[in-house]
Amino acid sequence: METFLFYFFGVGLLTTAGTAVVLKNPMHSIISMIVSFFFISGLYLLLSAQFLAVIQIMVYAGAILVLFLFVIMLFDLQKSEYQKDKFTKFDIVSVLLVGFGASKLIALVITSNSVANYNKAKTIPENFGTVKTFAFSLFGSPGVLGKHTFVFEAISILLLAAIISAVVLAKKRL
Amino acid sequence: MVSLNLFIALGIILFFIGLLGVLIRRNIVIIMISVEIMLNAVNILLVAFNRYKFIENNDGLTYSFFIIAVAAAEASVGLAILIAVYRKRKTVFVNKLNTMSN
Repeated sequence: METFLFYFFGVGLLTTAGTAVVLKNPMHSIISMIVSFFFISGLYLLLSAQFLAVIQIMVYAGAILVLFLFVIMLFDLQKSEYQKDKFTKFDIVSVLLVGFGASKLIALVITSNSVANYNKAKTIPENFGTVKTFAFSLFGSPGVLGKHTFVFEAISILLLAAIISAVVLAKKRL
Repeated sequence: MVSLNLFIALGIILFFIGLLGVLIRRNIVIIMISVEIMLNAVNILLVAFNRYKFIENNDGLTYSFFIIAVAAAEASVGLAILIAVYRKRKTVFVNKLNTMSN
């Protein structure tokens, strides 16, 4: 069952990500990207990372990709406009190079014994990937700083700077 | 239980799909989408290694949580720059955006 789910999510993810890259219409490719994020969320559930699965749907599919969608609507690209995105000779070279590199790496990984050492089934700790563990490592318990509290604060400052700079950059008159 | 090798292979393929998108497309929005695909591939690898090798702690999950937050900041600033560029040059294709002045 788990193997079937892995192949279902994995094949769906690779197809939707591939169409997101290949499709000419940016609107179609963004919608295909949203579908691929749902598949990624399913993979997280397979890896028993429940909180990340929810965050993936809420933050990525719900916020970031919808932002992309609205920006695309703002551009109002006509069909004659986005069809101009033609492939050139250089693209064939890059496809060949990327395919060569990927196939080499995958052939290395699939047969690797040092990776396969970790495949033994382990008992999952009860608090793996839950909201509670995230909260303890991000905020700490009362009186004690968590393991990642400083990084969390830095991220909040970064997000604040991103909000301000996005507003300033997108204003009509700089 | 699915083997870790399969998860790593999936992450590698996904990363290279994103890299291919950055290399062969001219539309800036699609290029940014491809960058998001690459970030997600790395997230999958972090979570998979955390689940299979370091199950006693939660660090890989926390790092991918931070990566999601940084990706949100990056997308918002990048799209704001894109809107400013589009307003001035009326194009979203990188092969047309090849001068620094107008």
